This record gives sequence, C-alpha cells and structure tokens, in this order.
Amino acid sequence: MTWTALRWVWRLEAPLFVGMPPAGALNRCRPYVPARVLWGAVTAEISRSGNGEGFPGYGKLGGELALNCRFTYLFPAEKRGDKFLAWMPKFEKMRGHQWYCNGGKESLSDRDFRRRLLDSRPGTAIASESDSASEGTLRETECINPWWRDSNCKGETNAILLLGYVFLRNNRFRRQLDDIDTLFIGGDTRYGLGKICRVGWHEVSGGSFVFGQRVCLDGEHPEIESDIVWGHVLEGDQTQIDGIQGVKEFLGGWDWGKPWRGKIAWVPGSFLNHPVAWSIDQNGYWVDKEKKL
Amino acid sequence: MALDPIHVGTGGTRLGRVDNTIVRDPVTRIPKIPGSSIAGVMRAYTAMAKGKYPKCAGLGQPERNGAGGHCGKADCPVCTVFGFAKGIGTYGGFAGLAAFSDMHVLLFPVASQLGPQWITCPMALRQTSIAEFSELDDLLEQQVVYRKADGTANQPSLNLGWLFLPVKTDWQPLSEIDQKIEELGIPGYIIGRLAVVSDKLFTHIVNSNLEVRTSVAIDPATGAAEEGALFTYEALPRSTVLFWEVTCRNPKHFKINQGDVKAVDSPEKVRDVVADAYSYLEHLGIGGMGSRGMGRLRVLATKELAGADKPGKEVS
Ligand SMILES: [Zn+2]
Repeated sequence: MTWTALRWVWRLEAPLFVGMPPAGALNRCRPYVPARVLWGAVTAEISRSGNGEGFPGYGKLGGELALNCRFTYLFPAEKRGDKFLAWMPKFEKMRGHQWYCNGGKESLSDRDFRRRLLDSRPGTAIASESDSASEGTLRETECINPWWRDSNCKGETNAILLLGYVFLRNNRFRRQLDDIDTLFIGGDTRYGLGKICRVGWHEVSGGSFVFGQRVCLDGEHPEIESDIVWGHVLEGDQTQIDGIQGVKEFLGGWDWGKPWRGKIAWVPGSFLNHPVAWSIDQNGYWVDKEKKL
Repeated sequence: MALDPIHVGTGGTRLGRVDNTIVRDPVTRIPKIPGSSIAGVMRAYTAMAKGKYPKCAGLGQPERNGAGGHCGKADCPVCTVFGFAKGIGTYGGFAGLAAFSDMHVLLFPVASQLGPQWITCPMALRQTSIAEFSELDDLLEQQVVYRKADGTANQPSLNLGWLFLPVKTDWQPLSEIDQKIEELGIPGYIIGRLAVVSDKLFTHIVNSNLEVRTSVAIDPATGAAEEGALFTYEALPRSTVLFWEVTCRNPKHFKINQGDVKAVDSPEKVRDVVADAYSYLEHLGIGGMGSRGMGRLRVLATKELAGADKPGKEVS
C-alpha cells in the first residue's frame, strides 16, 4: 500500500470565506474548501512551525507536501450522535446542483443549502478625513457561518463542520500533520475569518471508502472510483470525458504573488453515467487516468 | 469592557421597533463586533500613536495626484502589523502580522432586584478558547440561574430584566469559571455578581436588555429637530464585557518586497504595537454615534492563552 488514507473533520471557530467570482459588490463564497486552499494553509503551518526564527522555505516544503500528500476538498458536515455526516453536491438534469446528506436520505437544493450555510457581512472603509464611509467602498462578503441555520425550529445550535480526506505517500508528513490542531484558511484571515480547529482525525481502515466510494491506494496517485466528481476537473488536461454533465467555471488563482492563469473546469458535483477511476493530482484536481494527455 | 454603550451598526436601517440595529450572529442572534471593524479602528489609532496618521491609516489608496496612501515600508509599524495595499492595479500588498477576531459578548449586565448582575452562558465561555471551557456542555436545566454558593445566593430566585428565575448553586464548573474569569483581569464587583444561564436563555436576556435609545436628527440650518427625523438605535450597554483574540504572527516568517520585516522582530513586538493603541480605544472608542457619547472601551487585560503555541494568541 503506497498511500495511507485519513479522514479529518474540522469545526469552524470563526466565519470562513473562500472566494469565487464576485457578483457586483457581493464577494461570493464557495460552500466547500478546495484542496489547493488547504495545501497552502498546511504548507504555511508546517514550514513556520518547523523553522523557528528563520525564514521558512515555503516553496520547497510546498513542493514536497504536494508530492507526498493529497487532499480531497472539505465539505460541510454536521455531527449527529457520534456520527459525522457530510453534505455532498450532485448535479441533476433539470434541477441543477442538489446537496445530499446521510447517504442520500436527505437533500436540499443549492439555493436552500446555501441559505442554511451562508451569511453575509457588509463593510465599508472609513475615510480618515471625514470619519464616515469612504466613497465607493461599500461591499458585502459572504461567509460560511460557524452555525447551521436550522429550518426545523428546534432551536438547537449545531456547529458547522468540514469533512474531507488526506492521503499520505508512505505515511510521509504524518507527524507534522498529527501536530496541527488549528489552521487559518481562506480569505480575510486578518479580520479573524477562517479559523478552524480539528475535531476528528482517523485512519480509514480496511475496505477503504472515501465519501462512501471505494479507493485504491496502491498506485502513483490515490484513486477514487466514482460517478460524481468531488473536486474540480480541468478540461484542457485531458481528452473529452464522455457524458460528463454539470457546471463549468473558469478557475484561476495566485501563485507566489503572481496571478495563476486559470483553466475551464467542471465544478464539484458534476457527474457521469458510469463510475470512473479518478486520481487526485498534486494541485488537488481530479483527473481521469485513462484520459490524461 | 464597554465604558459607554457601543453601537456597531449593520449599516442598514430597518422598519419596526429599532431603526439602527447592531451586528448580530445570524444564528445565535447575539450581538458582536466584527473583526474588520476592530482591525480598522486599531489601525487608525496605531497610526495616530506612531505619528503616521492619516497616511498609513485607512484604505491606503493614494489620491489622484499620487499623494497619501500606505507607505508600505518594512520599518513602518502600522504597515507591517496591519498590512498594506498598493494603488489599484499594482501588486505587492502585504496581509499584515496581526489578525483580529470578532468581539464576542462574554458577560452581559442585567438589572435585577439585587442590582446589576453579569450573565454568561456555556457557549459564550467556550468561545474564549480557554482550554478549561472547551468542553462545557449546555446546562441541563434551561430555566434557572446558576450562581456561586456564597451569601449572595441566599435569594431563592432572581429577576433578570423581565424574566423571573429560580436560583441554583449546584453547578460544579462554576467555581473554576469564576477563577479563570478573574484571571482575565475582570473587576471583583463583576465576579461577585456573576451568573450563568443556558445558551438559549442568554440570547433572550441579551436581546431584551440591549440599550435602545431614541434620538432626533438636528437640521444644521435651523438648529432644531429635522422633520420626520426621529429614530431609535440599539447598543450594547455600558459595562458589557467583550472577548476578542489577536493572533500575532512571527515577523521572521514573512518578507516585504523580498526584504525582512524591520519594524518588529517577534510576535510579542507585534502585540506591543497593537497594545500601544489601547488608550485611544478608551478615549476615542469604536463604532458609531461617537458624538452621542458612545463607543469607549477599556482593555482590561492582555493575556497569552495557556497552551497557545507558535502564534501569540491574546485575550483582552
Ligand atoms: Zn506605513
């Protein structure tokens, strides 16, 4: 077995903002955490804690981490009894994205799901000359709220958790990951956003299922057999994937202070009519091994 | 601790009982002060304390003629600790070494037949990141007040505003809570009147005991009330105890324009830069309605959390 699979569960200690293209003055938030965001946060944490008073080698460590660790996306989850249940997206014909929980027993439309999860905070900059709102700075930032907004009126406050998996090549970086109990992820962390604390960290044993799907841990990359993708699938990297349905978006980002030119990607929840063995690459993207160029 | 009522508004006005509402958590409905508001005023006050006002305060965008804007220098305590932005369309900003959490209500003052009482709940205590409180469960009995088993608890019941509740003294964690809260530098007259209620009751007690004031806008031309300008606004009352965290990063782990950070060289120095502005909070305050005598805060104590490792975590 080349790879060890672990499941980790995080609790939001503050609102979390993972940006996506804005709509006017609204900075929209993704309802999940992409693997690349996690990789960045884990790289920063490990390189700082392992480097005392020196300047950390972020680039080198980041490269090693990407080679030896693979992250799935983190999806919102809740704790019921002693079980952690994740909400997973699935694209459906005529209905768009739906979110499923508890092995498909519960579902919500994307709109209702986002309403249960997200909150927004308005803000302006204050002009120092007048001590009032500075012209043209009004904006609103959507965030994942630390608590589920419940529609059942039971009045119980239930914490929002984030659930995902980590794969470690020959268990490398295991000790460093064991040591991490708090991370700051996403945007606007200097306004206190994005603080998460780990509440679960377990090896996935035996039959090896990830998000309820079978995984293969012997190859060059960990492979998940699934008819739904729960990560981004870049289009330019592989030949046409037959019969995939879902939503595409243009995905970009930043790399060491430089904008990283994005690509068209299928978003998490896109599905096929037959299962495919997906491998997770160093950036956390899902790749159909057979179709890789 | 709030020295005045504090109004950090939602920016919108709402029809109904109150025109100018304050920011609340959308689920717990408990008022809070967003970290972005705190970061903004602390930046402005630090710039004042360091003689860098108004250049290094504010948004940092230079004016059309190129004047003003953040200096962005590695030896500027304001720009290194609070971060800086460059003009629109240019790269090379810096996120800053200090991060400010939202301010949460920890102890809330309520009138009773025994004078003011300060109320808290397990959820508010858990949010402090004090290790001993991290596993506190909500109270089993929802409709009672828990107080210390000393002379003050002789009364069998207590009114908290309009709520009339039986008093109990058999909740074990209370003595440890008292002790830990005292370590935060909270005055004895508050500790002596501390009571704990369930999470659900706490929301009700806070929301029905906020300060709601009525005011009129004055027409500057006539010096009299403007037509139709009567409005109300709500605020956290004076002597509310709020809790916040400042996460201070190690300057040695960051570079500015490929160079070392020069203004500060340790997480403790980052904390000191922030702490230098506390006296301004006490005199100039935070939030809106400053001209109506609102918004001043006193930082009671800065305490490094036990068990906090690399990032210097602070409690104020
Ligand atoms: Zn400056």
